[in-house]
Amino acid sequence: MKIAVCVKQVPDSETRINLAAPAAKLDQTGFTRVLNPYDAYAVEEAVRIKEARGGEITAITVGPETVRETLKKDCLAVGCDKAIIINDPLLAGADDAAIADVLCAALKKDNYDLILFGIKAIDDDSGQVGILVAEKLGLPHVSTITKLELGEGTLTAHREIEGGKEIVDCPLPAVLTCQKGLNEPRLPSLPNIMKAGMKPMQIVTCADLGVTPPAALVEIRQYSPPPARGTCRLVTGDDAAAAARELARVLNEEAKVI
Amino acid sequence: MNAIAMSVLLFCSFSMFTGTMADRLWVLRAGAPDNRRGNFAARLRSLLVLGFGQQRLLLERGAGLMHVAIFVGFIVVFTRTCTLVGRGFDANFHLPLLGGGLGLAYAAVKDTFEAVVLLALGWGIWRRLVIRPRRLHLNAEGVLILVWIASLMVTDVLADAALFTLDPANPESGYAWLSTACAGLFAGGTAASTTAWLHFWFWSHILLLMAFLNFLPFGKHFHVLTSLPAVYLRRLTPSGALEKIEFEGRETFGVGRLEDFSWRRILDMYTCTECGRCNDMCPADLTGKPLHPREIIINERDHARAMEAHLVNVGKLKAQGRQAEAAAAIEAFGRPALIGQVNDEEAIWACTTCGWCASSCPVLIDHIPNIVDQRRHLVMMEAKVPAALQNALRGLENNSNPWNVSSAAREDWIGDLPVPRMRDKGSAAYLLFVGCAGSFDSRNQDVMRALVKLLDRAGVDYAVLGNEEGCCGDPARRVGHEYLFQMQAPINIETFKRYNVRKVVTACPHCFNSIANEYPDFGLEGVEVIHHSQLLTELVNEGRLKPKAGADLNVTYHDSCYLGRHNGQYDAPRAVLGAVPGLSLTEMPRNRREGFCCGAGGGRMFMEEHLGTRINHNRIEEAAATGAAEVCSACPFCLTMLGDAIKETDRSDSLRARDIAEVLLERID
Amino acid sequence: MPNIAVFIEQRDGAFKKVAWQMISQARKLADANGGEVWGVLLGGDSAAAAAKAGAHGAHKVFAGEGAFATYDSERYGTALAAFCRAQKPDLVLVGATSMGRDLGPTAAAKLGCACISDAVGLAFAGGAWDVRRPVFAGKCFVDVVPKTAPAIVAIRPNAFVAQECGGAAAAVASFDAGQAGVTPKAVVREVVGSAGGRVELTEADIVVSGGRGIKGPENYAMIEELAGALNAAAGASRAVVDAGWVDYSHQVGQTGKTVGPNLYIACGISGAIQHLAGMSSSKCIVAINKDAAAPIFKVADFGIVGDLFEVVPELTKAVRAIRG
Repeated sequence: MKIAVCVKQVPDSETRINLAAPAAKLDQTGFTRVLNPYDAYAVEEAVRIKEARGGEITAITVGPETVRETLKKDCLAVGCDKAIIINDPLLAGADDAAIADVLCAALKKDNYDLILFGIKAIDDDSGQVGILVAEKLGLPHVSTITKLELGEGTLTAHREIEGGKEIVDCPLPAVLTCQKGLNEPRLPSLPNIMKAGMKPMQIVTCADLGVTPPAALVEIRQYSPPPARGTCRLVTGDDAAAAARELARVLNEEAKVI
Repeated sequence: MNAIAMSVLLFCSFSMFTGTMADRLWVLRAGAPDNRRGNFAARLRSLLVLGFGQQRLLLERGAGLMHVAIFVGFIVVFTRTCTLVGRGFDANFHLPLLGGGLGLAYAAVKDTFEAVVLLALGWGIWRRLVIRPRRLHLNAEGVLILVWIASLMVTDVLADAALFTLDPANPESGYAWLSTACAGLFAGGTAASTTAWLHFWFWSHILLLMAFLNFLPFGKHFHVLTSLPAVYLRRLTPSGALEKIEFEGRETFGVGRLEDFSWRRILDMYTCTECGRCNDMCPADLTGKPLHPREIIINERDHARAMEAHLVNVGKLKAQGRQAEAAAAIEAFGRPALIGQVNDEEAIWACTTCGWCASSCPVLIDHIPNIVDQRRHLVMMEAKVPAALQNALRGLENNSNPWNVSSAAREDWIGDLPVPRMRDKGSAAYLLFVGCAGSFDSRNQDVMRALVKLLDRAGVDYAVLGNEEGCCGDPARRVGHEYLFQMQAPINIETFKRYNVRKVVTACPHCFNSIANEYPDFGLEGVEVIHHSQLLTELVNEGRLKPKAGADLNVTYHDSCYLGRHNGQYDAPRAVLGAVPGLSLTEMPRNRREGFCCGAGGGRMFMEEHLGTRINHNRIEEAAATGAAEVCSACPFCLTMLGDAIKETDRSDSLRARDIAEVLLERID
Repeated sequence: MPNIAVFIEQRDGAFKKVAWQMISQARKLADANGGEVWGVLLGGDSAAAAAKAGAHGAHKVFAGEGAFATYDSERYGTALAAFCRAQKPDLVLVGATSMGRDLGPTAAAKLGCACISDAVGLAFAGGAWDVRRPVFAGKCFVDVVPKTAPAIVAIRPNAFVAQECGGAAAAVASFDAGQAGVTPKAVVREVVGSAGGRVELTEADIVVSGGRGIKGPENYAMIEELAGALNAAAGASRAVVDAGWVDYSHQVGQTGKTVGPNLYIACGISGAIQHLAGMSSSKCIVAINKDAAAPIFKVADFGIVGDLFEVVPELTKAVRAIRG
């Protein structure tokens, strides 16, 4: 079974965004970069499938050369067999649709039975690329899966929905986007990290893939800091009941969270 | 008596013994290398104080004196044993110098010690069978050996008694007072029967002795032979320091199989006397965890014994430099898993590295490296890490703190306080190494703010690294992630060098231990590291901090393992408390050397404690029982654990936990 | 004349409130900038949808022709794309729900148009749409401009307020949803509601957690009751889990689950760092604790200093009153 896992390197989830005022660009220097945590579920699922049925896993990413360490440690060292890095200055500022086009070009170079994504990347929180790729490749997709069973040429996946799940049957090849709960990703062992350096890692450009990234469909106008989290506003009332009623009102009418 | 019989006995006995010992040496050779050469003076001092001086045994008065009696008796009687063997060939044999008056004096001393040993043995048996202290487990071998030694004493005394009956003019008669007194037993017998008795007791003694020699290596009494070498070959680095792994050119790290242990760890197994002192105050053992330090060593020893033939083979191959064949033999040999089957995996994770076990072991067994080496295997080779710890490791890796808070938030605790940063100041007399707890944990941020106020008040020239600081590496190293530690330590060392740091002060004993005892292995030189308790003591003594009078306050002090047991700082924190007028200190029963762990060391701070009872609850019961209103500590992890225990056991109204710096600041205007 | 189409999501005939929230916002924009607001309905009762949509300001409702009883991306995606090709709306809004997050990109790929996820703000200025959305888990916002027409935007539930404007039922028109020849490969075999409607902790929009302050396992029911009233997941601090009062699966914190809901209500939780590590990215944090110095108040947006045994049941009542 040939499996592709499309991954992204993102700033660590705890990264502090230093943005005092609206700005056209986000200064991302000095950020610690890690594998997108949702992609780790995709990688783990691919490795489990490989362990159960055999096969080959290719990790594919779009990003600068600095993604090598992440690919090595979090993909190759835990069981992926090879990695492809699509690195091209043309992709600076590429939007989801452009990334999806470029990934499609890379995916078409081989016949994958299964293409896995994380549900979203924790930097742009967009969560579209997997679905866009499926559509562009003319493949069926199941998004937000929390359970996967493979049959012969088919799969059954649990898709998380509000307050429940859909059980979806789908033929292979297919595209899946993986949600937390699907599995517990393993950690790489040190010898495997060391050995991962020997696994093939290919760096390609858009020209190599024969694709010209399309112009962005979405333009970024500006980044802005979130409304300041002020000091805690203490809600009071004549008694507990009054305070509770006031709190419920504030949450409903002002914070608009209930 | 009979030269041929004695020769045959000696030959058989010694060839068996030599064969056993040679195998044991090959087994040691099967282990990994460990350099224990050099530093002769320190080793000799250990041998004299801890070996012959039995210092650690005497920490427990009764059992210690008993052991000293038997130990000294053994040495005294050993001379006698040599004489008796000689007399197998020549009835008048005596060792050089022991022919004349000295010999007679020796006879008197010898009999005295035989009597003392017999008394000690009698008490030993009573203790094992009737008193039954918690730390001793009842086993047949223990009793057998006591009876065996007693038999050696009795047969010797009775052989002499028979001799003196036959030959009342024997010069030793009278000097060897116990035998002389026993001579009466043979009175009235014929010369022939007394001679028969003499032969019976003499040969019984010799046979028991030869058998004893050959029995020793197969039980815990092997320590009779191994303990003095073990004490001499002790580790001389600080107890809190772990050994550096050289990653370059190696493929396996830590210990996943017995052969991965260094020879010294195997010697530990052979030396263990099963005395159980290590278990006695082990926080894991006492709170129902599957970890018992003694059982770790015993399990491994039994495992080694079960595969001795294989280990001998590996030892021989390694000795011949046939490393590849040795590796293949190790690979091919089927055996139960060291971690999981020989040792419980939960036991390996249960250790707080508090150091009680190793510090109490009379024969210098090093439990912590044994356990941490197995953690190293689990973490680095198998990537098998308890779930909760995974988060901490991720935090250490990505944000250089185990709570995984953004590294950019490291200096947020400072707020508006006038705390100088090295990057602004360039240099300072002291670098205040804040540590992760002081930087990120809200309760310990309070402590850090108190400390900087004290430093300001005393006019200390200091600065902090702020966001340039990284985790000291203690949690990563203690949980076995040596690779991560070796990424962290050099970064801090480089920063220290950049600011030409000469003195480091820290409020965290874990940072203190790592920087003082472990960073030197990674190139830190000429830096004095002190704990805030030491600096505050100095400031008080110099009159730079003058605590004023206040209301009476009764406190107790909880020793941090890494400040106290591992680094010997028992007095400094007490001195800070002692400097506060009106404050009285009530010690808990387990204090100083016997201080009981809070449960957070060894990376346990970042793991779940779901087995047995909670260690911090055990400790807080003890603190509460002193009647003190506050339990003071000088370690952020201890403070957290004690504070949690107070809340969890609903004691918030009667007890509170504070750092010594907070107590002191309250009395400084 | 920017016309805005709003996808009216239904499951089992029940409409999602986010549709009315989006229609209300769309109507405001249409009133200011011209253009109409259209509802797009796939499956469900079109008359009921038209009444609700009209009441919130929609001018028309287009109902797709085809079998839309349950969601599948192929049928729904084709239908939405067919609608866009036929009616040429300038902007299509879908809810950022499990359905909308899947439908948006599916339809956008078919149309080759822009798709923007998880938006919380929508404006029209200088002839262009300005969509505001959180990135980096809400640590930063970004304003983006779609360069295509139509553009599909997924709107986070509760980002806008549903407001009835007294409009009559919208006119219903059916449209050819292009279903001929569509045979979905991925087929939903079964839809399973979670037992007792319990919401998964990590995905919940609202989490109510109890800490040591609840004093005993019997009082956790109080937390669950408030959670039930809010359709929230019930969480717990490590202390509560360690004490064996509730199952480990409820634990929020560094050693438990990491959550980032829209609303996190911490009852009787002091706010130890281990706990904060698991919930501090929540968008709105409410603390109920009798200790005013508890660190939880340092991260909370709203707080009540008081006895949770008095406050929490009252809050449950007040929430029920609001939510009907």
